[in-house]
Amino acid sequence: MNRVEEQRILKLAQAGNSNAFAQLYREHVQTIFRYLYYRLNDTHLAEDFTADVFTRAFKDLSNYQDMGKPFVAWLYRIAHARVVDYYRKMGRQGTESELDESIIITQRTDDVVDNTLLRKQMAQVLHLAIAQLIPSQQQVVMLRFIEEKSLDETALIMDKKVNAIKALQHRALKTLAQLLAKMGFAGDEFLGGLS
Amino acid sequence: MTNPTDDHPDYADILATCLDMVLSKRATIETCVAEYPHYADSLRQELSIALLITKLKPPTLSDNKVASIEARLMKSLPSQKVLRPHFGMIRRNVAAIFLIIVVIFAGSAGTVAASADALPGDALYGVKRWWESVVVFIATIVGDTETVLIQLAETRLDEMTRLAEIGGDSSQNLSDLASAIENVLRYNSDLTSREVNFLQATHRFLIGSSVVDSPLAQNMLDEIAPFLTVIPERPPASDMSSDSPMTPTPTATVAPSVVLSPTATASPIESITQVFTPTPSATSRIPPTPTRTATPTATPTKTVLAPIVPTSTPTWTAYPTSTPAPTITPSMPVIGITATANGGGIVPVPSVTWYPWQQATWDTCYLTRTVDPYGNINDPYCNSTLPPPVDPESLGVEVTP
Repeated sequence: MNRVEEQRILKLAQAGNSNAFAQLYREHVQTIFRYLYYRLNDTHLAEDFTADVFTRAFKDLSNYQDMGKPFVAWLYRIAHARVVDYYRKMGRQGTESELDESIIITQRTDDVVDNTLLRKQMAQVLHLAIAQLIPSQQQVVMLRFIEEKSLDETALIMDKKVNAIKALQHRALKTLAQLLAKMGFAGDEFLGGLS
Repeated sequence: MTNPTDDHPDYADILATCLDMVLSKRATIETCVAEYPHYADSLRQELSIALLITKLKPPTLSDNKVASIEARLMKSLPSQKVLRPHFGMIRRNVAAIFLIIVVIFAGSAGTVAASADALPGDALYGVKRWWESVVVFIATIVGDTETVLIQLAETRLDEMTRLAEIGGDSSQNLSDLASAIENVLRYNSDLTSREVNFLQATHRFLIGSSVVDSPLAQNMLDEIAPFLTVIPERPPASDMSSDSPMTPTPTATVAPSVVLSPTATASPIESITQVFTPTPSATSRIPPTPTRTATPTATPTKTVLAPIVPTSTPTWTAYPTSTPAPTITPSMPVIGITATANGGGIVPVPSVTWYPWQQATWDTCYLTRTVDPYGNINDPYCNSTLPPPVDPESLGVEVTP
């Protein structure tokens, strides 16, 4: 959906057209779900929150103003606020994730380990490492390497300058490298395991 | 494994270039590494991880799940009223006028004033928080939420600090501070120096407090960490003139010649026009900056008409005149006019800011008259600190606490 089309549908949705809103929902639901999944590290919770984000978006749609940014940037903000609210109510750190390092290391040093299982384990390790990043780093990783957005698009969505995004992606990758090293993996070696 | 050279300011650019090349398959990791051998270790490691993430199978909602959420969503939508922005605007205007009247009466009662220094646990603390929520509501309507949010965040930090000083239990109020931080960060991507100062002060407080080990405090420190950056001083005007064809007047400033006559009206107008008369001043706190659209002289006398961007719910009319003869009645709220430098030249940025007699250090230059609790109208004053010219995050420089 291009920007012009999106703006047209948005106007319809703002006028109360539920079909138009459903179109926006279908366009962005997977993106918001992925974002929530990485932030919450829980599929069921991410599903519930996805529904909640779109419900809130519809309720607030009359206040939405197109400031030259894609609609999804607004949805990201709602999702982010929802996650922050959730962790505040839970009274625990947002990036805490349980990681059974011993299992992963054992699997890795086992010569007869099944390659599929190893790949699954490594993917899991990477998921958990991403979950331990601070929110802005998580978002830049998701937008750049999972949603495959350009630097300019990422900057627009995150409402930051391109240089800030470059710095943020560097810090995110550096932190990930440190987290993986802590778990016993070097990045390049890790890549070999998945190829 | 950390390569110490990856903290070089150019490294983020090099990494971004290599990422684009590698992710678009126009280069391999090794060709990039060969091009920048000084950063070989870091580049190889970070490019590998980025490439690996792109190979992860992203989690997706099943078609069934998408459909079931959509069905649930659609079921809840018909119960919503049809969205009518125009009706909402009228309703908000009425609500705003009503609330402003309430606030005026509440303010004159003095209870709110008495609650200004209340701490959590004090009898008047609830009044203080109620007052704040009213201020936030009005700020939302007049479109100046950011200023109010940073003020409230500073208030929360001040309360925590004072509680800690008297040995009170500040852990109960940690979530309020977390909420305040979140509000400041949520509405801002380019933080002002005031906001960065607040985050730095919060960081110092948390590090030295007894609650530092709590998960919430740790979460807050993580949130703050990216913003603990060094903000370079704004270069002197002489350095900037090379980029501009004009020479800035040494101490051009916007004189506080705007008189504010806030008048609540039953039929709010859609736009406000203000007249600013820049005059030179030897004591100006606003550094002169070049502009491409105006050539200030040593004695600028030109009158600048600064149209205000119409807000959706204007509730006050301010008619600046050249004669400072305010007609503010005691206990009326105060309207401040913000002037700030923007790239070059002094550009009056209209901003209607309301706050009671409590003073604060504002980031931009506020030409403001205030009314104290006894109805005395004070002289106008100006606080000016220019916003940072560079996005702090783009510097990538972190200060070790």
